Amino acid sequence: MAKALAVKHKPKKNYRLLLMVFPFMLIVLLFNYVPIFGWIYSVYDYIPGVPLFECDFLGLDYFKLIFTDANVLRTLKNTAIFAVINIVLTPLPMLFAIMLNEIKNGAARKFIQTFTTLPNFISWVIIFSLAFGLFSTDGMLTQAMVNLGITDEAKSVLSSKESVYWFQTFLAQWKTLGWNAIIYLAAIAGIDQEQYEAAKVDGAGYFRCAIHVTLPAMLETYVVLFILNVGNFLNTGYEQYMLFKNSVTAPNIEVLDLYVYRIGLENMDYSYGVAISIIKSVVSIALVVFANLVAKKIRGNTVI
Amino acid sequence: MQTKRILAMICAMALTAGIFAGCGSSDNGGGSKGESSKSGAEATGDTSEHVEITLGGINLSNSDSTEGWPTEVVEKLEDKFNVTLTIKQYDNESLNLDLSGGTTCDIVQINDDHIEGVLKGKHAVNLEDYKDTLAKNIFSDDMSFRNEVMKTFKSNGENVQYFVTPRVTFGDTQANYGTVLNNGYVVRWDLYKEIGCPEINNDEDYIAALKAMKEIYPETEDGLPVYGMGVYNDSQLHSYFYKGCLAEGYTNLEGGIYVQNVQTNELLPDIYDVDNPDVVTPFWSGVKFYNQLYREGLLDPDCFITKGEDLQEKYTKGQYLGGSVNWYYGTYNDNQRAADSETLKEYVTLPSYLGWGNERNLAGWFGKYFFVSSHSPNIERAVMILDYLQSEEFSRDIDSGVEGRWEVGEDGTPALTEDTISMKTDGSRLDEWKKSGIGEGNLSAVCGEDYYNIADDGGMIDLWYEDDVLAKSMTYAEKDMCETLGLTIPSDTLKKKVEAGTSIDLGNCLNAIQMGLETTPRDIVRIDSNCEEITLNAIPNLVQAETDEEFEEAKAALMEELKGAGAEQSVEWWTNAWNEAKEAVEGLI
Repeated sequence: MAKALAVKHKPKKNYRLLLMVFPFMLIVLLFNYVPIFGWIYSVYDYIPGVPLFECDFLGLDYFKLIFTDANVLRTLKNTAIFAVINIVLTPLPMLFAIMLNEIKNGAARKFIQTFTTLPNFISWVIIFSLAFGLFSTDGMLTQAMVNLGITDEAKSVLSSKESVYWFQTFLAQWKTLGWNAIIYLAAIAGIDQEQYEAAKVDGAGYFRCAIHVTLPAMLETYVVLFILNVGNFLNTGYEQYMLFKNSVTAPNIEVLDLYVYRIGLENMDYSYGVAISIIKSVVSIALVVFANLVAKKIRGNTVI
Repeated sequence: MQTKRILAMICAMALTAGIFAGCGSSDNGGGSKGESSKSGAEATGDTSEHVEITLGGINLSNSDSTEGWPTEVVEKLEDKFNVTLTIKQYDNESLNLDLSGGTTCDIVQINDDHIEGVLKGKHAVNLEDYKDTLAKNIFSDDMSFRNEVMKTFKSNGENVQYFVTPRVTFGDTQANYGTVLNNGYVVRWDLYKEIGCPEINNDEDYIAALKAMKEIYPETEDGLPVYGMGVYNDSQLHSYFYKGCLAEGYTNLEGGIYVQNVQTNELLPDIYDVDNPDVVTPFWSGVKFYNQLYREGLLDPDCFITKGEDLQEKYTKGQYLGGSVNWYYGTYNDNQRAADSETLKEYVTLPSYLGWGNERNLAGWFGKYFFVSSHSPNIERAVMILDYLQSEEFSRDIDSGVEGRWEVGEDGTPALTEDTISMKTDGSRLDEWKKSGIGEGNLSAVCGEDYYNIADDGGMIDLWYEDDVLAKSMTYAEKDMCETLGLTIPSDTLKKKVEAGTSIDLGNCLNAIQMGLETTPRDIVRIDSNCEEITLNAIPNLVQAETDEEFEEAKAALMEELKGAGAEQSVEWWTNAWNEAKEAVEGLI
């Protein structure tokens, strides 16, 4: 009788759980799946204000155009360079979290964590203003470098084509390092303290504890995040690059997202912008699938 | 357990409801659904019911953030038509969104980029339906050329009128350059006077003057470095081609890739000049000028990263000696006058070859087209308001204030009152000035008539341009400039040069040709945009060229790149389109 009741109640419980997850499914549906309808714009010559089906049908013309557009190749190259640098630097937040964890003075640790996390909440517009104040020719740091004899003449890094990749990466890392380290700090908090005690009994110091206990415990998290990063290979965003773009840096700083913004919103060439975005999405999905397969080979199970 | 279940259910429902709430449709926020739509011929102009009318436009500012709103001018309009008028700022994205959703404001101002979408999407009301009832100002005889241009070129071949333009210049309007010049060779008056006011007739003279000024003023009082000039980089190539337009006598089409000769009205490719080796185009004149500044050590080393606000900040700190436009030095002048009302430390503008004055907008300002939205719930009232905005009465109000701010004298001609004139210059009456609505930025670019048109009462639309008023609005430095150079008002520098034939103005420029151009095909737009970007990226090599040979090499490389990007195809299309438009527009005069 009791078993029969349990069987009877089971579907009801699942239904309630489904109801609870419904709002989140709706969010995903509305903001991730419904916009896919917008892909249809890529096969029309869309003019804002004119009903879509009254616009000229162009088929795959815009997709063909992508392969003859030299700007796509250039911006793709820039995107790839930024993405590779970022992927290479993915262990940084993990290493930072380990180092932070080794600071035993609680007040100092909290201060450093807060200090490094806050930049994540500063908008790129403010960061650009700060950078202008520091790195322009009259800027504080540029002038300090001249006064200290580090450089002969005041030259702004903001108008240096050669410095684009490392300088933009530096700014992005400064902004996000503390924030990205949070997930690793959470992973560290989950490590069984007995492992540290056992290591110490075996004679391990701070360094060996970090290498042999903390680091292996975080690798699982790192691999998951790494695969997500690979999936976001082409999603560099455009805010940062748009603000720091000028006639000197433009050839190196214009990434694919910024090019799509320029094509779609500045030139109002929406259909072509959508076509480029579709190609970008397809490549991103392929990369995620590939990274997932690699993960399965290495770890024995998939991430997604 | 029961409580938890209920809580979970409530949370789930609240989240779901929240999501749906965010997806709700919105109306245009404009008028109430007060008037039924009837045909224009039957329109009665009934204003018994109060309605809200919203005017939305590219580059307008929201009325919520406009100081003094509703101004005296707006209050008069609101009382007259029993409406509440608000202004909504549009940018390209928000306008496109409203056009796509059919939720535009009652009256909308667009630029050339949106004409095709508005016409094909049938978003505009045919104003000719109201020709004999509610739109008599729009269809007055003085506006006939403008109306013909709108019907011929902005109606998708239907030959009816959907749009009106602002600031139409009537045929008999006389040249007027105002009190001061806004564009030309900018100098710091105190320094320019100190070096002996050398005559400036061309870029070489100007560079020499800047150099001499820098020698006596190498750094500011605060120890900051001083430069001859900077560049504003947030307007694409404008800094370069506009400087060249002033020096060579051209006006630019949007983007500056093509320019119009202000005397012959011919079109010229500005950047890709391989077919015109003997002509110095504005772009190349401008780039060469900045290159000379660079070689003389007068160019701000941050010139490739400065945006408008950075430029203004440096002007405000006194770090620049010159410039070509008056957009950025106003705060410096205001600050100096606030500290010392008799200061000579003020930027003034001397004339370049082309004086940007006496502009004859026979078809109104191009690039600003107003229409009544077919989605408006109050179409009749919107037509009435748009018609009033086009009227002589409203144009006088916005430029000179409502009646009372100006009076008709014993000789029968109107003149600003002494109180109005003093209100403009008296800083303690700033709030009153804002409330008067005189020259208010939004509506100043909306009204139908040009500043210099002569109204029925014999006075100019803008009474501030009357000769006796012009001299009264000068600052101490400007008065000193007039005294030193033997002028009545600062703009006489241009007047004298035009009379002597050493400078020209815009009097012969037929800018209506630009309105006659057919819609640029998408592939040409794409080529032009790409050419603009390529050129922008080539600027550093050109400006920083150390020798003439280096400059020519950089130019040759750019020409090659432009050719590869399809510049020749663009030139061919624009040349044909321009010639057709020129012939058609000239045929309407």
